[in-house]
Parts: sequence; C-alpha cells; structure tokens
Amino acid sequence: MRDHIYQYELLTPFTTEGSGTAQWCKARHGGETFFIKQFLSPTQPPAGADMSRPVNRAKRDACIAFFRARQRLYNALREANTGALVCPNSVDGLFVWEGHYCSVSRFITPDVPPEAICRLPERVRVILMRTLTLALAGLHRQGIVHSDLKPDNVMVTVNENRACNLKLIDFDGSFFADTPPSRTDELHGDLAYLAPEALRFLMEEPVRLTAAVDVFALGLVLHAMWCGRLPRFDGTRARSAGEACLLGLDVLPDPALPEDLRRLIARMLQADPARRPAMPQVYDALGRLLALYPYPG
Amino acid sequence: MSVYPGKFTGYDYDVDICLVIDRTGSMRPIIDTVKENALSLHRDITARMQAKGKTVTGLRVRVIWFGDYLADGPGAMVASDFLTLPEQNAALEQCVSGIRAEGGGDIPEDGLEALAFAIRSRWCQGTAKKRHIICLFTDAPAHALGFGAAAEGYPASAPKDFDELTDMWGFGQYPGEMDSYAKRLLLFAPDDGWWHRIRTEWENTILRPADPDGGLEDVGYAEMLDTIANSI
Repeated sequence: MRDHIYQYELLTPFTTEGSGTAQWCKARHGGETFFIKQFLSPTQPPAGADMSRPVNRAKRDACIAFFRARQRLYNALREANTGALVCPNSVDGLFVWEGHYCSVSRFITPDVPPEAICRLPERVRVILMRTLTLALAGLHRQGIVHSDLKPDNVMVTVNENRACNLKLIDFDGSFFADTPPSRTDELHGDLAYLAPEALRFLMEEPVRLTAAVDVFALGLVLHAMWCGRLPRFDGTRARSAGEACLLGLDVLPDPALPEDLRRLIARMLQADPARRPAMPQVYDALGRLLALYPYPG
Repeated sequence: MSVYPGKFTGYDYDVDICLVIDRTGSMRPIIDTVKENALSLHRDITARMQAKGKTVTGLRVRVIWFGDYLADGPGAMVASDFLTLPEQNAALEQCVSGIRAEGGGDIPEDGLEALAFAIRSRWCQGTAKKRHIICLFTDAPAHALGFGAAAEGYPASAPKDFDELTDMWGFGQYPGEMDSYAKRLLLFAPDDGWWHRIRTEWENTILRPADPDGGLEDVGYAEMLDTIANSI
C-alpha cells in the first residue's frame, strides 16, 4: 500500500465500500483526519499523450467539464454552509492523483450513532432535526440538491460541553436543480431513501428531479431520528417507502410520534413532489414543535 | 390508487462477470478459490446485492484462463462461453475443475491479450440496468501486446498495441467496445508496468495490488465478492 498522497499520510487502503463511482480512504495531515475520495471517472490523458487521438481529446474535455462542475459545486457549498456542512474545500479540496480526481474533506465519526439519536432527550432531537433542515435549506437556497440524504450521512457529535452538534456529509451525488441528472447512472441515492419520482427516473421515465427529493428523504430521516425506525409500509409489496408511494400503498408514520411531527412527515412523504413542503416550511414547523419541549426547569 | 401500476424494476440489474485468470503455477490459490466456490457464486453475489437492496435478475459468468503464448502455444488461452447462473452452475463447475495451475514460461504473461478477449465478450444487451464486469487475477506483469505474436495460436484479432487496447476500453462519449456506463474493470494484479498504466489511465477501473512476493494469496473470495458487489 502506498503511504502518502501528496501531504496526506494514508491510514487505510482504498476501498469501494458504499460507492460505485469512487474509492476512498482515511488519511492524516497536520494532526487532522481526512476522507479522500478518488473518482473512477474521468481519467486524465497521460503525460505526453498523443492529443490527435480522439480518446485522449475526449478525456481532456471530460476532465475540464468535471473540474468546472466540481468547482461550481464546492463554491456553492461554501456559500450554503451554515456550519453544518462538511464538504471539500473549494481551493485545495480537489486534485489529481495518478490520473484520477480526488476530493478531500474532514473525516468525521459520529459520537452518537444514527440508531441512538432516538434515545436523546426530545428537545435535543428537535434541535438536531432543525439543524439538519436548516443545512438543507441553505443548500436549496444555493440551488443544490443533496440527493443522498440518509442517516449514515448525518453525523451527530458531542463537544466538550456535552452539547450535540450535527454535520451533514457526502455531496458527491449532489446536483444543481437547474442541471438535474439526465442519465440514471448520475443519480447516487440510497434506494431506501429515494423519493418516488427518483424511482421513476431510475425506470427511465422523463422525470425532472428537484429539491423535493431531499424533502422526501428528510421526512424519512426525521422519522428515524425521532423513533429509530422508518415509517411502516407493506414490505411484501414494496421494498422502500418511495416504492410504496409509487404503488399507492400507505406509508404510515409511527403513532408514537407527536401529532404535529406525524402530520409534518406525512406531508413530506407525499407521492406528488409539488405537494411536499419546502425546507423553510419544515424548519418553521419544527420550530413550533420545539416550543413544546422547553428547557428543563 | 396506485400512481405507478407497472412492476417496479428500478432495483434490478443484469450482471455479466468475466473472470480472467492467470493459470500459471503460482496462481494455484486463486484457481483453487474459484474452483471451490463456483457452485455458490450465484448465491453469494445475489445475497450481497440483496443486502444493498438491489436485485440481480440475471447473472452470467464466463471464465478466461491465460498464460504465455510463446511457452504454452495454442493452449495459452482457454475461454468458456457466458454461463447463466444458477441454471448452469454445474457447467461452470465442470469448466473450472479441469484447469490446472501450470506453465507460463518467463515471469510476465500474456494478460493484455486475455483482457482484450474479455472486452470483446458478447455482453448482455437487454433494457434492464446492466453491469459488465471484468475481474482479472494475476500475480505477474504483462508482456507488451504482440510479444508472443510469433507463437502458434496467437490471436490474429489481438490489438496491435496498448493504444489500440485503450481504445477498445474507450472513454465516455468515445465508447470503445463496451457499454460506457455498464463497464467495470477490477484488477487483482501487481501495481506496475501495464497494469499500473491501466489503473491510472482507464476509467472505471479498480486495482487491488498483488504482493510481488506473496502473490494473490491474500485475496480472499469474500474480497472478490465485495469488490464485485460494490461495483454494481
């Protein structure tokens, strides 16, 4: 195993676990741990390549397009960051190593694993849910759709004052709402959290994906943050909540949820993306929920 | 009322896997691994895919064994057709059980010719989502293309040089001979020479380096399956 990529000391071998389009590893530099992701495509033409060959020109053009698209995304993420986004730095967060582009962002491990968030005090849960919603609202204001929202991409850490912080990670599948994916291979969501229109897109139907896919996924994530599981649906007929919506089956929020939250999540999980609330409305609704859980004492 | 009355197949994949295996003596552990697991390959891949919420609707496997044309003659490369699993599990087992780890001549082998042969496989062309995976195992560097051209049985259709082989793999809108979006190349090979060039110059390629001293003994069946499953 190589031991360095530029200034980064590699801590683990590269793996493709959880990614069909990249391989990743952990690395260290300056006392901090980083997450390095190496994209499988595009590849640069090799040094001294014969640029009269079409394949080399195609590689060069694809690399320029990839670099510009990433720069646009990383710049917009910087503008969108409310403090809860862990994303590549727009200046040195993208470089080429051995022909492939690599992105670098801080490596975060959760102090509170996703399945344990539901055991935090109710008020803390609502604050974390609002923090996540505010982060997504910031993305949407910049025209960015996260598109791979799921509990594994929501990191809850605990600081020295025992206060919980929430960070949103993994923007490799993100796209701008004005240039949504046009091919199924460009959509990188987790099937369990994909909205029904995203599933139709995977079926190669002419669907234009919007920020509403994040609202649907957030509805599922909020449900899991509150009670530790996803809403119920007929698992013998559908393999995900999105598929259940497509099939016209009920997707039922848990009765243990507070009534206001249950109603909010039900609106977020509507099959018709146009009927789902926008992120600011979700944020406001969670604000009203927060009022039900005042500070102790 | 259902807003989507049809059968949803967005999770379904047709998967073709071409195992390209160096059959020279030092490769015995990998060859034995393939032999031991041929019958369970379908079950193991579908189980890993189901764990990811995806369904393998069609799985076909072909095996290409390669050595060194100058040393081994016309028998340097042996290939099966694609076998549909699990229906043809027994045929796959029969196909791999007859292979012995032997031959090879000098240290490098004719792996690039075998890779070209794999690229030109008759991959599935259905409308379902598909993944076309070449999984190549070798602990040896590769000869340059054409090194064994004087040998009897050397394929006339082999690419004349590395550029031509690179064109066969293609790139983006310059698609080569495989589906641009379906193709993946997984190399379990030394990270030097031609294999290193492929890793750094070809898209959708992953190399798990073989230890120059220890060969591929450390590459277990589980790692092979995980690498395949992660690529889908």
